Amino acid sequence: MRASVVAEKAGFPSVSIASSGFLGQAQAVGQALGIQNVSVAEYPGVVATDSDEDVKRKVTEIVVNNVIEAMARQVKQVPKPKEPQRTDIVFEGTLDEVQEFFYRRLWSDGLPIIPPTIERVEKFLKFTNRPADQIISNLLPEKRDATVWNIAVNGVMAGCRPEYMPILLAVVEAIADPEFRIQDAGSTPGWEPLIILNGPIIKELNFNYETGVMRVGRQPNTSIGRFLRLYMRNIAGLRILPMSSDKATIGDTFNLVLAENEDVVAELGWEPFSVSRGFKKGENVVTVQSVVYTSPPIASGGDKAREHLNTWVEVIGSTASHWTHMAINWWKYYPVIVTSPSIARVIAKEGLTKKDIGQYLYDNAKVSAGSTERLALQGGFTWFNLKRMVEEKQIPTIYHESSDPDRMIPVFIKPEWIGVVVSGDPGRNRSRGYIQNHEQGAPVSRKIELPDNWKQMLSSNLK
Amino acid sequence: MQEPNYKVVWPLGKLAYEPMTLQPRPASLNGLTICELSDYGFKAEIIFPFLRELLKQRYPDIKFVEYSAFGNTHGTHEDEVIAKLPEKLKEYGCNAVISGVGG
Repeated sequence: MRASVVAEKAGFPSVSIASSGFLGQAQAVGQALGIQNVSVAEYPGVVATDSDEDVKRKVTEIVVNNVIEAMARQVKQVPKPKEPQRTDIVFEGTLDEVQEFFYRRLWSDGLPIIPPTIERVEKFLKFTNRPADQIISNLLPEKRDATVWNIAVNGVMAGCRPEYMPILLAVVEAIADPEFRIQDAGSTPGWEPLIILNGPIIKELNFNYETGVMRVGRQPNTSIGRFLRLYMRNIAGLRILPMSSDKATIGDTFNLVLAENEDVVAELGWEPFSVSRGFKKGENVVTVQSVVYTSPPIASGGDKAREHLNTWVEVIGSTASHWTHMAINWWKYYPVIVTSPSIARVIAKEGLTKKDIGQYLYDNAKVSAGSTERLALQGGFTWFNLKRMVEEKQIPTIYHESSDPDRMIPVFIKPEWIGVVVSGDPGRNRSRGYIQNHEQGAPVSRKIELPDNWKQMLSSNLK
Repeated sequence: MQEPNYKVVWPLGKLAYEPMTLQPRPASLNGLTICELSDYGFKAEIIFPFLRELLKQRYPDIKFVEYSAFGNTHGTHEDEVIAKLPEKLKEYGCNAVISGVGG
């Protein structure tokens, strides 16, 4: 759809062919790029489950006519809708009435919200030095302005406390970075963003980084995770209705904030996750990246590093191998291993670092080339062919050293792209892999800007 | 006791796009050069060649620039491919574009 819009903007009449399930998304993306009622030729049904003969029949009987008709269809420009101003009171009512009003307009996520009154929003604004009307960016696909004001509004709604505002701002700045590709957050695998948090703010705001770290129950971890999904619905327009741009086939629920156990990291002489992202130890940093699925919860035992590392190669490696074709296609892949402190201690005891873990997994986790090509083909990537990609110098020669479909290729793309975060129950030996969705939701980190008199404001707000 | 009322504000942001109109549509495809753009997926390698033949049957003087001339619009070098599109479409003398396949 974006290619068509670029062509139209360059002066060329264009038509996009899209299967039935994507007509709504095409319109939503077209609108965000400035075109109401884009020219789309429908391919009826689901391409990937049609036989080649069915495809030919549908193109002959239906698609060719749809293309001709869409190319001839002239569409008039539609003006932008009139919408409320920042401080307009859009509704007045009881708690139940507010819930209903927001729910019916698709402004909530289905859970009860805290009513965003001006008084509540202003409490959040006290926790930033920035002006309320400052525009951070605009968020595709709906292309609405992300502002300091509407970050506070959605923070109120999600159940955040006012003092979380500096984190909310940093999170939105991260997802607005073009590297993150928020416009792809409605893609069919249904990935969710994950916020990884480092710095003294973890303790200052009482984040959970121990038992049940990713389970709802602790207010900052939970409400900030909820905020991000709500913000993506309201500002990026990622809603899950017909004619909307969230095309998650099945989808998943929002992730909680993953805070690192920096006491254990310091004890082991390891770097906090944020340092591997280019920041100084002791800085408050958020990293936001996609998670498309997770590994099973792994229990690994033994007092030798290799025992744990080999279990990770086996379990996280095999889990991540189901996404290797996507990683190769976009040449990006940033999985994160979350390990409980007891396992980290065993590995660190042998002098190994987080970087060494990434290297070990890269060197040892392998998948068959045949399986990778088959998964790509079934996912709709009908051009995916490792031999051709090597010949065209898109990927290194290690991906096609022979024509044997059983030859083994690396699961991961680069060792330095494998992240490690220490978190979870200090009394147990478990870990889990968080598999990332290639170029979509690539990791972006931002330093958290604290307001003047942060400590003083925090202490008076907590009283 | 009466339940309190809440005066609430709008949670969305201003729409940042500028509306634009589609380019004037051609009266016929005959004699035109059609440029194909593809994400190289969802059986594009079957759909495009077949569509090409069907359109040639209806419009004998139609010409095509095949999608391989432009690169994958949704792959590893997507941003680069998209950035070069306006220039390449002019270079190939395109009159109209067919892009696909969204699936």
